[in-house]
Amino acid sequence: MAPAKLSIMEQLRETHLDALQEICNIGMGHAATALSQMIGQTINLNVPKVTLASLDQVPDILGGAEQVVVGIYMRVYGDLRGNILLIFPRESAQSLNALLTGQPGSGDLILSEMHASALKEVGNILAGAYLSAVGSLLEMSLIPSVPSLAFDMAGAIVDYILAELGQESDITLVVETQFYGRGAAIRGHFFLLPDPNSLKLILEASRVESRRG
Amino acid sequence: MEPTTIKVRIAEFKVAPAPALLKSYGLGSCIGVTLYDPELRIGGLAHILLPDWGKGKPHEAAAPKNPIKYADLALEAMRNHLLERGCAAERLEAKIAGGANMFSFLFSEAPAGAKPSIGDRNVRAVRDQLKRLGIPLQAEDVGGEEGRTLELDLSTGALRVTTSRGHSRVL
Repeated sequence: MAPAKLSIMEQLRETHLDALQEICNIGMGHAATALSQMIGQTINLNVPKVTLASLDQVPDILGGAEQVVVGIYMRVYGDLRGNILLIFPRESAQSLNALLTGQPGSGDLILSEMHASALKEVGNILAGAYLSAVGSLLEMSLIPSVPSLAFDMAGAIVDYILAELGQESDITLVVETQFYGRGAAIRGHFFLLPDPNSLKLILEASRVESRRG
Repeated sequence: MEPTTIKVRIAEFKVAPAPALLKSYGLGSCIGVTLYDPELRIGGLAHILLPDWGKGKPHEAAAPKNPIKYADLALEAMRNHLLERGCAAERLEAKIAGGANMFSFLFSEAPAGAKPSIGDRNVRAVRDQLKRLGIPLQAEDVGGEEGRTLELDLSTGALRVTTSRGHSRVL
């Protein structure tokens, strides 16, 4: 029997993940700086963890499918195609909102127009800083779409993206990081989910980059 | 005694007899399908991610690694599993819930004639597949912009649908 053709995800090796980790590290550093400036408070982040996860594990990474979270979703356009998904647990979203708007959230499950818009702006800034850093590293032009926001169960927020990716593969690349504010802890997950064809381009570009380095 | 609750994850189906509960958490664009035999009180819940495997592929294309992701393959597999456990095909009843559009903002501005959202496509695919398998669709709670948690009570065949805002209805 002929061996099954391996998908790009299955061909990924440790060295590839290391290269991606380094790229993401730089990108997220820029994003954290941008967020710090926006809210006037130092935001630290831990070193991004780049992993391959099977699609059905993604809700568990976020604390379970039924956990209520804020999800900010952006498509990536330009030389690469993919998805960016920022997830803030409910309490972190409220802390962020209090910092940004000076008005504490109501605590119930409806975001005011202003709070939703402030959180989308956070998404915009994080994604913009991240993509421009990664883009200049890889010599690619990367543009985020207008952000879209959902406040709902984690499982429901990610399954649309899983469906998009799931047509190609059963595993996905997850860049996971957490932000920490001073005082109020702001935790967030940043998922970068490149389309399978774009992942190939990232790997090629990162190899060129590491040789030059 | 509390009935056992069996969790059904994404791209998976489970089959069990009464008095167990089958539960699937946080469905957005995904769709949940229950098949139930009221006489034997055996039923199944499938948590489906994508509309169709078969469409547009050559017939001899290798089967996907996880067939339960797809509406066409999952429903057929779950029905066959129920028949193996003694359920009668003509007694099976179906209910469906899910197929929401979580990020409506992105797509509300889509030009006319753009392809429908994955949630809508899932709903349509599941309805078509049930028709193809000759299983009557008893009730549905689909579409909208809210995630759903599903719970099938195998003692009665009732499907409870709960949203994150705490709304709850029984199909």
